[in-house]
Amino acid sequence: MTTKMMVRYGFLLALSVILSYVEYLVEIPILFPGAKLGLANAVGLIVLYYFGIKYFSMFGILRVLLSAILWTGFGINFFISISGTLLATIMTILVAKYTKASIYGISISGAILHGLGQVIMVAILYQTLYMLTYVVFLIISGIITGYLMALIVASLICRMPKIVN
Amino acid sequence: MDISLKKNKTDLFIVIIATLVVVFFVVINLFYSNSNDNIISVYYNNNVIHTMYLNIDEEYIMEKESFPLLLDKMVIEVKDGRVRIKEEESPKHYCSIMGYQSQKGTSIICAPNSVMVVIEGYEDTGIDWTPGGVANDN
Repeated sequence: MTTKMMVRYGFLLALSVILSYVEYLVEIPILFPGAKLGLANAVGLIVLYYFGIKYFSMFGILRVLLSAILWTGFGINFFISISGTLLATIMTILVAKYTKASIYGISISGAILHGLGQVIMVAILYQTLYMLTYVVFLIISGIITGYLMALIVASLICRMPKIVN
Repeated sequence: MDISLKKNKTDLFIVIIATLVVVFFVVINLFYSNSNDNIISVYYNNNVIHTMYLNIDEEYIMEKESFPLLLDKMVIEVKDGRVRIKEEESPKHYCSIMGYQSQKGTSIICAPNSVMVVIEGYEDTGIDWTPGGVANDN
């Protein structure tokens, strides 16, 4: 990675941390309680597009770690975030590497698995399987928000100059 | 890595699979939800403190004086075969925003107040899964 690329990667990482904080502060009501747009994940898609799988795989985890260090701490919220991010990252990489899905399919599958990972962690932490009934809502919101994020990212990539040569 | 920015058939396939999973869960939920005599358990700090029934209208009031982990007074309402948290104090009010719930197995978790309201529904499956500790993380 050249210095130029490293700086841009850092900028995108900072942007995603800020966006996740903004979403944490300003609750945008989307479909169901707790469902979020996932603006920070949109930045992750840009990283995947320009930097590839190797750098994308670290991106989400770095974002959650930085957010925890800066403001959310390493409590329950951290474990819920990291589990969602890990599952979403793995799914995104698998879909991007082994299927012909476009940015839309990649985004949707990542968004769904992000929610699923969080619910699994809540079920483990609170020792209840009842939370799994929420999976239906998460899949529906994952499809919608994943599509919206892909739409934003696709139009951004088309309009802005290449950030990586 | 070349990622297409245009929708294709694989994307549609992913959405179809996700939709099938949703349908599967909905069917399973409907299958297990067939009676109006479901028991509602109110958990506070990991213990069942009150039991209500979906077919009996009731308003259960929890005062902060009696339940010190509450952020403020909480009111749980059962009405017309549904249950909701009518009044509560929490940072984002997720539990009251969830509104009325009536499906078996549904839970309304209000972590900041250490309260969980569960419409019991899987007691006859033989699986031992006790809803447990609700942490006060705020």
